[in-house]
This record gives sequence, C-alpha cells and structure tokens, in this order.
Amino acid sequence: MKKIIFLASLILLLGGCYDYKELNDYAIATGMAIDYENNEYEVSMLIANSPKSSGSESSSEFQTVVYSGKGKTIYKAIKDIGLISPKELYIGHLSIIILSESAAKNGLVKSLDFLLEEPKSKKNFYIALAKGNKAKDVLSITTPLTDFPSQTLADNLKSTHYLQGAVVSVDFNTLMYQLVNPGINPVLNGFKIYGNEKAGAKSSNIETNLPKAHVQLSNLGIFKDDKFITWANKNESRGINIINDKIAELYIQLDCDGGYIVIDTENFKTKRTINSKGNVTINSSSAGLINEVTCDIDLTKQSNIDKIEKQAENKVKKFIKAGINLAKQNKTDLFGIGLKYYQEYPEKYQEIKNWNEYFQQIKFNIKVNIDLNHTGSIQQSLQRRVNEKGN
Amino acid sequence: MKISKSIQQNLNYIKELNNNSSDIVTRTIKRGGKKVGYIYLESVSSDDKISNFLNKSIDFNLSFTNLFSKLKNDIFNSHIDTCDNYEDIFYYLSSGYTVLFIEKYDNAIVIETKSTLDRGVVASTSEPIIRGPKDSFTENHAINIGLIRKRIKDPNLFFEEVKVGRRTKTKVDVVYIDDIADKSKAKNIINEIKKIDIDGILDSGYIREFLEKKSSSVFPKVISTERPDVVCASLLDGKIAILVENTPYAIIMPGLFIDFIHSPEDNYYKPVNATFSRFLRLVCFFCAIITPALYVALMTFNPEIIPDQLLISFAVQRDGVPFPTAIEVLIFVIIFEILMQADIHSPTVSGSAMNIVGALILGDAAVNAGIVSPIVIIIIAITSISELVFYDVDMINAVRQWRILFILSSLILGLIGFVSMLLIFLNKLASIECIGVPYLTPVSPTSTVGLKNSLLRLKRSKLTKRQSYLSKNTTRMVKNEKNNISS
Repeated sequence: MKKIIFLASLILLLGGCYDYKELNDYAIATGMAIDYENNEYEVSMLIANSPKSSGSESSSEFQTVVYSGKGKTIYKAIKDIGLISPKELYIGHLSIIILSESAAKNGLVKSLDFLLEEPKSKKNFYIALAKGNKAKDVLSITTPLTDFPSQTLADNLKSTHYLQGAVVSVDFNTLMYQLVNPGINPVLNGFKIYGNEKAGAKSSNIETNLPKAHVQLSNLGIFKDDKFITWANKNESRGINIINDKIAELYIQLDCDGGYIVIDTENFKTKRTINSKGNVTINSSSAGLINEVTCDIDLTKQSNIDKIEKQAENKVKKFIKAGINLAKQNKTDLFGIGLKYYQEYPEKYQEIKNWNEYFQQIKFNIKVNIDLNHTGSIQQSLQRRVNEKGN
Repeated sequence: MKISKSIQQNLNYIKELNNNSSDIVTRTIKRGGKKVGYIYLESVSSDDKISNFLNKSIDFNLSFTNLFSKLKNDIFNSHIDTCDNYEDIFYYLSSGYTVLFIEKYDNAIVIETKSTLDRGVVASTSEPIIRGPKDSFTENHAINIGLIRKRIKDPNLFFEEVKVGRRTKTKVDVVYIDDIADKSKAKNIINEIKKIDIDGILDSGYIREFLEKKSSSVFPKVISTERPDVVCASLLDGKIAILVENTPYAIIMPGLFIDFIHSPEDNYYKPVNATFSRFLRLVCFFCAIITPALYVALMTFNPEIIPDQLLISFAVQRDGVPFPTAIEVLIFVIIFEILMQADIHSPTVSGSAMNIVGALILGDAAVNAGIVSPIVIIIIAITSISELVFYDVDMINAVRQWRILFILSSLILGLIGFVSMLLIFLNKLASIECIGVPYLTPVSPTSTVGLKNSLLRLKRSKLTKRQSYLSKNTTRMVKNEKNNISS
C-alpha cells in the first residue's frame, strides 16, 4: 500500500502541473489578418480580452486591440507579436482569418500551413479575403452591433451566406479539403471597407449613429490551386454558389413593364450529374414567393404566373452561365466537377493530363425549375389596384 | 449480589452503591407490626404514581407472593416484577422504578413509576416536508416504538431488543417485518450489536459506527432519519431499522446510494413529479461534486473547449485576481464551509448578521476588492445550493470531501486529472457494500425492479414487486383488476 501511495505521489509530483496556464495570462486572439508586401508577411492579431479601464462599471467589459508583426514566415511574424504583447498569444479561439489579395496571390498554402501544423489552433475558423484593402484594416474596423470586429466578420459571413446568394462561408477544414483534393479549386468570400479606414479603427466609430466606416461582404474571389486569380461579379458569384449548392435562398429581381417584380426562392437545391465524357447536367429547383410588385400585372391570371416563372428560370440560368463562363475563362474548376469525375470514373480521370484545360471543353446542360406557389400576402398587387381605381 | 432479608441493610447498601446521591429517596414504613422499605430516584420517578401505588394496595398482612399477585391485579397500567439482586435493582431504579423491600423476604418487588422525561411528539425539524405526516421520533424509546407500531399493525413486525453499554445499558431495538425482511441479515445485525462492548451508547451514531466499521468510505451506508414514516416505508421494502433509546434518530440498513437521492415526501407526491425531483437531485449530486473541479480544469489547462464569448468573458473577469484559479476556488469553498458551520450553530438572533457577512462582504466586496472573480462566486453558489438538496448530513459531508479531492486532481493534471478522479470516484462508489448489497444497486448490478422502485417512482399500481436484493418475499401487491375503483 505504501508503495502504491509513493508511486502515485511520484506521478502527481513529477507531472509538475504540465501545461498549466492561467486563463488571464493568455492574450486571446479571435481574428487574424495576413498581408503580404515587399516579400514579407505582416500578420495582425485581434486580441479580445484586454479589460476596460478600472473605472468601468462592469468588470466583464473588455476592449480589443490589434497587434502586428512582420516576417518572411507567418511563424516569425507571430513570434514578433510576442514582443509587443505582455501575455502569451493564444490562437485556439480564432474565429476568422482575413487574407489580403497579395497574400492570396502568393499562395494560400504559404499563409495557412502554420495553422494546420499548430496543435493549439482549432481549425474551424472562417477564411475570407480583403477586397482592395489591407487585411489588417478590415480586422480593425469597429462595429456597433457585436462585441469585437472578428466576431462581426464571422457572424456576418455565417448569417448572410444563405440569404444573399452571392456570399459563401468557407471554413479552414473545407478549404484544406479543396486544396488537397484533385479537380477542385477554392473560392473565398471578400470583405470591403466602405468609408475611412483610419476613422473606422477608432472606438469612436461605434459611439455614433452614422459609423464613419464599415465592413461589407463583397463577392467571391476565385482561385486556381492555391493562388488567387480574380474577383467574380455579383451574378457570377451567384452562379458559382448555385452550382456548388451553397445557397438556400436567392432573390431574383425581374423587369416587368414600368416596374419590377421581386421573387424570393426557398429550398434552393441543385443536383449535378456527370456522364462518362465529363459533361454535366445541372438541375436546380426551388419554390418561389412573390415579395414585391411595382408594376401593373394581373397576378390572378395563371398565364401571368407562368410567365414570371419562366422569366425567373431564365434569370437563374443566366447566373449559372455567367459562373461557368468565368470559370472557363480562367481555366479553373471552381465547382469540383473534376473531383466528382475522379470519384465516379477514376480510371478516365487518370488519362486526362490537365483537368483545368479539359474543364474548358465540358458541356453544361442546365435545367432550372422554379415553382411560384405563393403570391404574397395580398393576391393582387397594390400597384394594379391603384391603377384600376384611377380608371 | 443477592439482596438480604433486612430492609435497612438493603437500603443502606443501595445508597452506598451510589455514594448517597442526592436524588435517592428511601423510606421505611411500619404498619400492623410489619415493616416495609421502599426506594426510588426522585429525578426519574413520578410522585403521583408512587403514592398511588403505595396507598392503593399495600396490605402488609399478606405474604410476599400474595402481595406481589395482589399488586399485579390491582395496578393495571404499570410494569411489575420481582428482583433479587442489586445490579438489576439499580437498573430498575435508573429507569424510574420504585423498589419495595419486605421484611424477612430476600426478594424485592419493582414497579414502574417513571415520569415522562421528554418532549412530546413534534414536527420534524431536520427533515421538514411540505406534504405528508409531520410527526417525528423523540428521545422516548416507548413512544418511538409506538410511532412505528401504530403505522404497521402486523404481528410480523418484530422488535428485538438488545441492551448495549456497560454503564448506560441503552435499549437498542432491531426492527424488521419477519416475512418481508431477509432474516439472516437481521440476525447478523443483532449479533454485531451484541458484540459491542462499550461504556455507553448515547445516540444511534454510536451503533452505526460499529456496523460500518469495516468501511473506509466517506459515503454513508445507513440511512439516518427522525421520521417514522420513512422507517415504515423502508420496513415495508424489507429493510431493517434500528431504534436506540434516548435519541430521535433511527437508522435504516442497508443505505444504498440511490436511497440518498430520495426525499421523504417522494411517496406522497404525484409519481411524475417525484421522479423528476429524483433526477434533479441526481444532477445536483454530480453538480455539487464536480463543478468547481471542472472550472479549474478548463480555466487552467483546457480553455479550448470553452465557447469563444464565454472564454473572453472569463479571461477578462479573472484579470487582476492575484491568486491561481485553484487557490481562489479552494479559498471560497472553505469560506463557504465555515459559513455553513457558523450558521448551523448560531442562534437565530445573530442570523441577520451572518447574512450580511455572507452576502455582502464575502460576495460583493470580495469581487470589488479584486480578491476573487465574479464567476467563482457563481460556481461556489451553484455547488453549495446543489449540495443542500440532500437530507442526509453524512451525504453532504461525503460530497464535500470528494469535491476537494476533485479540485486537487484538476489542479495538478487538468481534465486528465479530473477524468482520472472521476474513474477513481466511480470505482470507489461501486466497491462499497452494505450488509451484502452493492452500494450502486440497482444501477450496478442492474435490477429492473429496483430501478422502478427507487430511481423512478412509478404509480403504486405498477409497483407490484419488491426489490429482490432487499427481500426474499417479493410480492408487494396482488394485482386485482376487479377492485379498481374507476371500473
């Protein structure tokens, strides 16, 4: 018995509280920005747990701070931050990483390898691009609705990617999957600053009703392998997302004489089938609902409803074609067609030397089906009623 | 030593035996040429009863045997016996008997004239309930037995009495229902009690210590209660109760883990509500043991599993606190225990001062002074409230000790230490045995009937079977569809 107690105490004492670290000795980084300039990376960390001055009423209030470090490698840059921060940098709770265009052009792998190797990073954060701005500035803009900027960016990406159709949220694991597997190239969403980025980084930015600067989700940036190529426009972004089945809802704005009709589609589903030659059939279907009508149209007539459906389907086809065109122009398979082909016809895929070249010859057969099963809360449009009254 | 034929000699001997204690009253009466002497202890006897007994029936012309039978016939409500040695006589005197010596007889008549030296039957103070019978045991042994008797009017309800304690000669009654309880277990308990050789037994706590002596566990293996309805419910389950003279606390064996998440009123509530309460208490049990340890492990070793927002909030709250998290938690666990101890023994008049110290100074002021982070106060509050849902004080103490062990293991090895301690804890719990029944029954070893009876609280009509690990006679209720009121 004495022996057991002796051994047990040895285990406990020799362990020496391995890995022990008080939480308040950490600088908790929730966002990270990577810029690339003059062959050097600049890594910025958004640290969320710096307490407000002791005069603040609630002891749980906090403010954020952005520290940067420079280096040829990401690791060196992060170590440089350690020289500034009095606390140990903790990256287990990163929620978003912003890459500048130049860093993305230099290759995603060079920027992200560190995070894959580091055991303490959780690998479920989002990755996005800064469109036209420094990534550091995007990370620094303060916003009134959420506690700290990185959370704003991550929440924004999470909540709107289903609604707008032009936005996609990509997390680290998904991105790694796309980078490693054959026949698929990644797309990442962009963030753009509107307003004065210097003023936006101040805390006064959240104390006014009209913030001097804000960050807004923009369109998709497309990649070939791990290198950034170009930005897609809104319609192209939508097309890419439709083909990748990344949207649940999509609004479609249609012209009708003297006004517009807006349709919101729900349960947007896309199925892709591929034949042995690599030709693809894209089959999108969804249920639509008329949300806004500003023209004189008789919505009680079935023929008119059919006409609107047709129009909407054509519009969606246009989106899809725009997406395909962009991908073909840039010789990059953004849709994972190659991966699907590889999975279904592995031998044939091996015969193709360069999939991205082959991708350009692929024929797409697009089928879209939208069912308008709801015409909104009122049967007849307000515009028509007002016009009828005038007569 | 046999008593002598001389009255004076007898009286003197007894007086000397007790060093002429102030409460010994002796008197010699002469009437019709015959002499009688009597002796009693005025501290434990009732004057009315003595004069009634002497007046009513002393007829000195009768011989000893005739007098004894006459007294037996005349006095109906008191116990009368004969006695012929000094040791027994002093036991009788202490129990409130009056001893009558008659000239030329080496035998004495003892008659019970005891005064009631106890409070009446009042509502239970340590196990208060909202619904159900409110009476509780008292210090009077006869009343305690009566409180059980009047609930179970069954000839098979046995009280087996053993006198324990060389000096106190305390009555200890082992109570069981003969055709329900496992008789061999009852015999074992009686034998164990008979083996006890000690100066005095003052409370059932003495007895339980001897019955639990082999166990090194801090968890209670007997249920301790002052409620007769709890004892009766246990007896009907086949458990064995032990009543000890001069204490309102009865003990029930075996006490299994599952019994301590029960409340006396579970039996009187609607089944669903009682089941819910039991699960709640089970959650509280684990809450009370592991919450602070889990907090320490997460804060100092494994912050990665705390959600983002919470983590930042925790980190900011802890900023400026000088102590390590574990010390901070330990300080407050101990301060709370001190508060509890102070509260139990402080008279109600100083209660409000205690509240101010506890709530304002230790809570608010400590946070403002930066000694402790607010979240630790919350953790300790959750833990303490969870611990207080249990009725059994020994259970609360056990929970308390394991809590500190858990904190220490988390302090040294984080979540790994915590999980290791959890395994040791479950191992320890599972290895306890109480009179042949594993402590975690009916969960492990699993018993469906046991689960229905003790973890869940099913409708009475569904509980037709008794737990086989408690009783050999498992038929609790004979189902009879015809007697159903609703049909």
